[in-house]
Amino acid sequence: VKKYLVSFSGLLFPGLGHVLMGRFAKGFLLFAVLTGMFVVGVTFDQDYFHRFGISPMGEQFPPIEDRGGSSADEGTIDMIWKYAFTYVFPFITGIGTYVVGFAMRDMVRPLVLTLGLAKDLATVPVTYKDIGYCFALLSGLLNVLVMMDAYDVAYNAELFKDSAQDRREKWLQ
Amino acid sequence: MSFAFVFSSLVVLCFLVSLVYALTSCDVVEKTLKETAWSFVLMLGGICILAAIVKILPDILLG
Repeated sequence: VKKYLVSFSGLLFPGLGHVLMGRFAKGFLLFAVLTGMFVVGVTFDQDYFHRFGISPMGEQFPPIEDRGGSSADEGTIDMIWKYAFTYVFPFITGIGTYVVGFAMRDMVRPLVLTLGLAKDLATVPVTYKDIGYCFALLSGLLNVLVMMDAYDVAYNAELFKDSAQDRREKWLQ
Repeated sequence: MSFAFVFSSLVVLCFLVSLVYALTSCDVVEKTLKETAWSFVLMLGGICILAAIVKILPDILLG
């Protein structure tokens, strides 16, 4: 049970599983890298949090018809991806990281203008948005790898009786 | 559209993926750094070679 808890703690913050296992440096580095990637991603991809017109935070967006499309255009795969992206992906990327990114979005948005990538926020080129989307998606996918590694660490610690307490004591000495 | 920006994004992305991969693969600092460097070179090199092939091959085949 412990190894599953350690592994799935990555759903809260990337690297949390490593911290719980006493691997503080590695855990904090993974947290910094993956959270940084996500924040950079949502900085460039201005529409990240409502990419498909719905937000898990309860925000309202224009219906698809107002955006030049039709709900009849949405196939089953489109619908699955839309709901998976909106409601499942925040957990994969780390719900804490997602919420921090969401809260900081108005703060980090003007960085695109500071970097001189667009004249105003409404005209950010689609290539920059795609780069941002790629950063944010990769941060989530890498978090899955990190969670699997945390499981591996917990499994080995259990197997070799190398308890997290020992590691914590060594680290504190 | 700035090529430099897009390419530097690719470099940063490759480096970060390499770093996370190395961190999840090794426990020793020296080995982690070595693994990061190697995986970064292989990943970026592979992508550049593939991009060159995709760009150059059609020109050669289509004359």
